[in-house]
Amino acid sequence: MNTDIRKALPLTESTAYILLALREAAHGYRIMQAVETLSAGTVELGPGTLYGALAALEEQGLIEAAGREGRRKYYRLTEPGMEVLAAQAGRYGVFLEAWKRAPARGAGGGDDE
Amino acid sequence: MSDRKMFRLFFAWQDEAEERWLEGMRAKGFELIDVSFPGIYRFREAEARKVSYRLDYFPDKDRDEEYRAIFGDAGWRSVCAYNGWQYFTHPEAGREIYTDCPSKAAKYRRVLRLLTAVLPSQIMGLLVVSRAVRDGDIRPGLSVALAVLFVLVVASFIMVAVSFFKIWRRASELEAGRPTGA
Repeated sequence: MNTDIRKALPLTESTAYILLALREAAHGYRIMQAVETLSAGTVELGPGTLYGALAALEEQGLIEAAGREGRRKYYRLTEPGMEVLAAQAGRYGVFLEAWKRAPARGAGGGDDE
Repeated sequence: MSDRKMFRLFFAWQDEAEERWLEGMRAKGFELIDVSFPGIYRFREAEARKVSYRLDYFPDKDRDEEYRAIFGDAGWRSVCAYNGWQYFTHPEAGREIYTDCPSKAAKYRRVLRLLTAVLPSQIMGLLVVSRAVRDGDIRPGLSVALAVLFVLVVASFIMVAVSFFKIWRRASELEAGRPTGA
């Protein structure tokens, strides 16, 4: 399963938030609302992007169907999906640390020859 | 109710121009009702408004209940479908159905798949007609018909080839993270 996980990385920002939203089973509309909240409004998720991402994630086995309610289909994260999400979070963590350590621009150090 | 019909040629790489055109028509008070072969656009008079029109490419067989539910829940109304293109409208201006480059590129990859599927038949047509022209059947009526056919087949081949190239380039640029627009 390791190779599969590496293949799925890095996730696009939208996909990372979709996986994060699917830690509990949800349908498309719920996912859109959750992504808006989770990202504090920084990630806009259009329906075309969401539909394509759900189809691709299901095919990759990172999410699975979890029932229907009328026309709406529910999904939830699978084990490999959780691993991929954790790995992506790790990558964001590395970035964040690097960003914090980087000297602020103009505050000395940034302009070495 | 007065309907207005318009004829317009639409090629696969002009989806964004088509969206702007429909938004412009709506802003002038003409709301799209449907599109039919070979490019007849039917409008009805409506209050002039600034709204969004967006085209997705999904041949009907791929258009399932969930697809419609997700677009509907996001506030998009499906207006009609024509040649695999899904016409959507949203009551607010400036809305998007694709919100990142990779997913937008995937839409153009689907269009490319269709163009790839028709390319062999286009090449066959070109070969057959050019051979007939070269072998030169010189009975007067027939040669005129053949010339017309030749021009049509060549024009059709050129349109498919140009569409393929333009859409391929756009998909590649989107995949490289460089959205350039129409």
